[in-house]
Amino acid sequence: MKKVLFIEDDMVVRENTAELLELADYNVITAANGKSGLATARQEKPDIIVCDIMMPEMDGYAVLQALGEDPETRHIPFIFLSAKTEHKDIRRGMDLGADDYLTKPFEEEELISAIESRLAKMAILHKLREDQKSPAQEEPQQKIGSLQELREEVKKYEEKTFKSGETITRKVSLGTTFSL
Amino acid sequence: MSTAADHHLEMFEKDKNVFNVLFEAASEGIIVVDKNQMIVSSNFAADNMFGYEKGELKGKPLNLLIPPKYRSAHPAHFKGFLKDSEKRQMGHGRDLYGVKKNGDEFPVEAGLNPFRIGDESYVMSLVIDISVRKEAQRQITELNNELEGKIQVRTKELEESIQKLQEANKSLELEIKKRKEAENRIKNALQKEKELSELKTKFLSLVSHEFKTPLSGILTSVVLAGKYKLEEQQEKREKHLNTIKSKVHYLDNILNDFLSIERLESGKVNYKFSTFSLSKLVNEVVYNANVTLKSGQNIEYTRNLESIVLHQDEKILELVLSNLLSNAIKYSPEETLIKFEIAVNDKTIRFTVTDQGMGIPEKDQKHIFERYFRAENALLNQGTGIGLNIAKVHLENLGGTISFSSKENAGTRFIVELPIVKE
Repeated sequence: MKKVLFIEDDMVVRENTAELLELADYNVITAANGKSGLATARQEKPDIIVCDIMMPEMDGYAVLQALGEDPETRHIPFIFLSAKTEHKDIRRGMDLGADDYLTKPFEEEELISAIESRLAKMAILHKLREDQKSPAQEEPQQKIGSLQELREEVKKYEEKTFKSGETITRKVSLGTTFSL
Repeated sequence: MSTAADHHLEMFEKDKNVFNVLFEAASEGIIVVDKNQMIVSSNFAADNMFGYEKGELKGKPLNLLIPPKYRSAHPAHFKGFLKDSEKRQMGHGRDLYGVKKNGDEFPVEAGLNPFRIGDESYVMSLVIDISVRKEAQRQITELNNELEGKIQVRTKELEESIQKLQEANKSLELEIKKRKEAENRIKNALQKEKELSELKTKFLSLVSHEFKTPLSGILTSVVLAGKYKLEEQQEKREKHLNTIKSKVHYLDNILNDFLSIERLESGKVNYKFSTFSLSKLVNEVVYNANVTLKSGQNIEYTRNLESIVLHQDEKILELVLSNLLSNAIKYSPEETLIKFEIAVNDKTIRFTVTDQGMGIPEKDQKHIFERYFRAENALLNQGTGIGLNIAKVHLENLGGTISFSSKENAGTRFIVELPIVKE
């Protein structure tokens, strides 16, 4: 069961969303503000983090930035879930390195689909690392540290595994609503 | 043989000729009359003036030369003049007229010179035809009159013009005044327009943010309520239905806040006074606030108010107190205490809300009652910035006051005072 950390200051949204995710078979931990969210992330190492932006003490942007600077947490997929819906807000979130940006009010299916996409991608990367461990270190182990490195790894894998320019996203039939 | 007498005669003859030459050559008319006003002699100029042949006038009465209407008066004047025997101008100050042979009257000027030859008195008068002069005078007078007339007309025209200008000035001043008033009206309308536009912008940005979170709460509760289909899950369904209700009320309140600003501005608020129990109000306000407490927060409030009864606008008071408590909760962290104290005497009732929260930064304190104002440290929290503004206006309308003291990161205290109103 995958562990989801949900950071949101509005009590009703926090509790309801946790409830929805639990009904969808996720193990949910919650935090009511950015500061405690960051601490919980470091402590619990969730499989994915869904985070609001406008929160007291520390906003979502700051949380993502802090997570990115910490080698223990920078690989965790991160989704913004916010009432800030303007184009500039979305770009800011994505430029900081978010994996997705959903707007409130959100559809249950949207949230779950976004979470699943990110988890699937992580699974592929995990498998990649596993596969590379076994064939006797023909290539040096590379830690996937940044989004850029991730992109390169995926490309390498695609070139090696698939013929004629197929891509992972197409292969696992993920939607085209996002791209690396 | 030439004697002295001969010499004198000769001289006299010579003189007489000289005299004649002079007499005849003079351009003035000369008429000599005796004491009976008979013309004795007249010169060429006089004959010509009056239209007679040379010598024709000799022996004629002077009256012939005087226009008929003046003839009767003349003798008396003449006699009088002879008596006085002084040179003078005749007709002093009067217009004199002579009459020609053909009957034409013409203006003259005459000077009189009495003299004596032996015992006989004569008068020599010099006469000048002043027709031309008179005509010139007349023309001048006429011209003068004409000019006078023109001046009068022009003056009148000028006066009328001046009057018209004055009137035009007056109406221009009035016009300017009207324009200024219109300008002021437009300025005010523009100001109102600006305020409305500001309201609209604030509202729209408020909607996009303040509404979306409670709407998410509603949507998720709706989805969840739909998932619990089993009989025994009734409790869960109810919980979510209540959440939906509460959020709908919350959104309604935000809308009402905005509407009340508009109503307050246009003076449409009617306060409804009623008599109610103070403890009932306090309990209700605290109960509602307790629902939104953060973990570990607690409201401590004054008890023993059962006997106290208030005559006020209950709804407005509830609005104000709820706003203060909700702020105290929102801006304080978990595990803090909120004190809600009530004090009554026969003149005023005082409500005090004290928290241990983030406080209001000093530079923001003077703006805290301004509409839409959010202090810098509050921006990450949800809020419209209109609660305190509305509270202040209402309280002032009811004769009350609201004040506060605050220190950043230590806490804030708000004090509301209202006069005790007798029914």
